[in-house]
Amino acid sequence: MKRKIWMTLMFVLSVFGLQQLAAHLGNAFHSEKEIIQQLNIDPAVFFYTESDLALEAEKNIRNKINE
Amino acid sequence: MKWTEDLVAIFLGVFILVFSLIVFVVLPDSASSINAYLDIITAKLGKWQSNPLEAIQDKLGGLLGMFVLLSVLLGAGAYLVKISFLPFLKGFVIVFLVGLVSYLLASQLDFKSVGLGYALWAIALGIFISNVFGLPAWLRPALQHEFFIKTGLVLLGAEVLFGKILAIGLPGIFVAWVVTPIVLVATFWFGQKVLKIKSKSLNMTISADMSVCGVSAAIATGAACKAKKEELTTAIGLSMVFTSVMMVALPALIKAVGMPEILGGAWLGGTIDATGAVVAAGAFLGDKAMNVAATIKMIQNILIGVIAFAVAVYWTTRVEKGESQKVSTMEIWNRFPKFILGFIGASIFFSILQQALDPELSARLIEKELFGFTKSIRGWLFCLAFVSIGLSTNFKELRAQFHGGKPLILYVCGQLLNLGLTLLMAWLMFYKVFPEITSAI
Repeated sequence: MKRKIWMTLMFVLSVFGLQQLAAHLGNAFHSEKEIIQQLNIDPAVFFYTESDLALEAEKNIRNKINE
Repeated sequence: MKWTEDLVAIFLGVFILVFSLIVFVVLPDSASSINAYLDIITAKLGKWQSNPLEAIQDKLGGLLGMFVLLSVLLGAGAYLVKISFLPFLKGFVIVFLVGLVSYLLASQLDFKSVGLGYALWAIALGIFISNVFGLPAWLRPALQHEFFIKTGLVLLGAEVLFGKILAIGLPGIFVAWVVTPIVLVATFWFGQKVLKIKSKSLNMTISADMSVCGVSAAIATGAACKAKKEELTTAIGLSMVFTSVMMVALPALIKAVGMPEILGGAWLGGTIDATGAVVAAGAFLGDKAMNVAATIKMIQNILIGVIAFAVAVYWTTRVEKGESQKVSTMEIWNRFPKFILGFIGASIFFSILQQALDPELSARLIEKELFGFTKSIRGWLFCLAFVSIGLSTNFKELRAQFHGGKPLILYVCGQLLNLGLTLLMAWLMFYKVFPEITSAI
C-alpha cells in the first residue's frame, strides 16, 4: 500500500514538474508559445481536419495560385 | 456471416458516416434539432491553467452524452464479436474516465503549447494505473484497443480528401509524395539491414510514423502490419517528443540562417510530424510559411491510406507468408486486414462527394459540420484505444523495446535523411523548377 501511495505521489509530482518545465522553457519556446496563444493554434492536433488554420491555409494557397 | 473485428469496425464506421451524411448533408434543415444535440456532445474541452474544472464547465451534459453514445455503439460492436454487453460496459466506464483525464491534461495551457496531446497522456496514465495498481479481470473485456483503432481509422479515411493533393501543384506533390516514400523505404531498410531490428513491425511503424505524419500514420501502419501495442507506444512516444522539439528548433534555425519563408515553410511541412505542430512552427516564420507548411503537410497526410494499404499488402504477401513459402490467394485474403478497405472506401467516397459539391458548400457541410462530428468521435476512439494500450502494457515489456537504443537511432537517422531530402527537394521544386508558383504564393 505504501508503495502505491509513493508511486502515485511521484507520478503527480512528475506531471506537475513537467508542467513547470513546459512553462519555464527558453526564449524560443516563449516566443512560440505567444504565437500559439495569439493565433489559438493547437500544436497537438494530429490531422488537418482538426485544424481550422490548416484548412484555411490550403484554401489561401489554392486561391493565390489560381489567381 | 461471421462477424470479425475488422468487419464490425467497418460496419460501425460506415454506420456513423451514413448517419452523419443524413444529418449534416442530406437533411441539414429538418435534422437541425439533432444537429444542436450533436454539437453539445462533441463540444471540445476548454483550456485551463491551474484549475482543471474550468475545462469541463458547462460540458458535463455533453460528456455524458458522448459516454452514452460510445458505450452503446462500441458495446453493440463488442457484442457482435462475442463480448457480452454488461461486462464490456463495466470496464468501459473506467476506460472512458481515464480517457477524460487524458483530454483534461492535454487541454492544460502549458502542455498544449508544447504539443503534448491526449495520446501521450492516455498511454502514460494507462501504464501508470496498470503497473502500480494492477489490472482487475472485470476491466479486461473493455480493453479492445484494436477494435477502437480500426473503427477510428474508417472514420479517419473519410477525412482523407484526395482533392487536396492539387492545392499547391507539382512542387507540393514532389515534396510530399516523392520524398516521403523514399524516406520510408530507406529508413525501413536501414532498420532491417544496418540496425538489425528484430521486429519488422516495430521498424515499419517507426519508419512510417517519422516519414509520413506521426501518430495517425503510426496508428494506420501499426494496424496494417499488426504491430504489438508496445511497438505502437514506442513509435508514438518518439514522435511526440521529437515533434515538441522540432516545432521550436526548426523555425529558430530557419530564422537564424535567413532561409526564405516559402522554402522554410515547405521544409517544416515535409518534416514535422503532427499537423498542429507544423501550423505552429510555420506561424513562427510568417503567414506565407504557415500556409505553405500546412498545405504540404495536408498533401502528405493523404499518403496515410496509400501507405497503410501498401504495407498491408506487403505484410500479407511477403512478411507473414515468408519469402519462399507458397500460400494460396484465399489464405492471403484471409490474413489481409480488411478494415483498410473501409478506410480507402470512405476516403474515395468522400473525395468524390467533396469534388461534386460546390467548394463553399463542401467547406461548410463536409469540412465544418460533418467532420466536426466525426473527428470528435474519432478522437475519442483513438484516445480510448491509447488508454486500453496503456492499461494492458507491462512496463518491463515496454522498456525492452528500447534495449540498445535502436528505435531512437532509427528515428534520428531517418529524420536526418528526411530533413536533408525534403530541403533539397523543396529548394529544387520551389526555386529551380517551378519559380512561377513560388512567386504566385
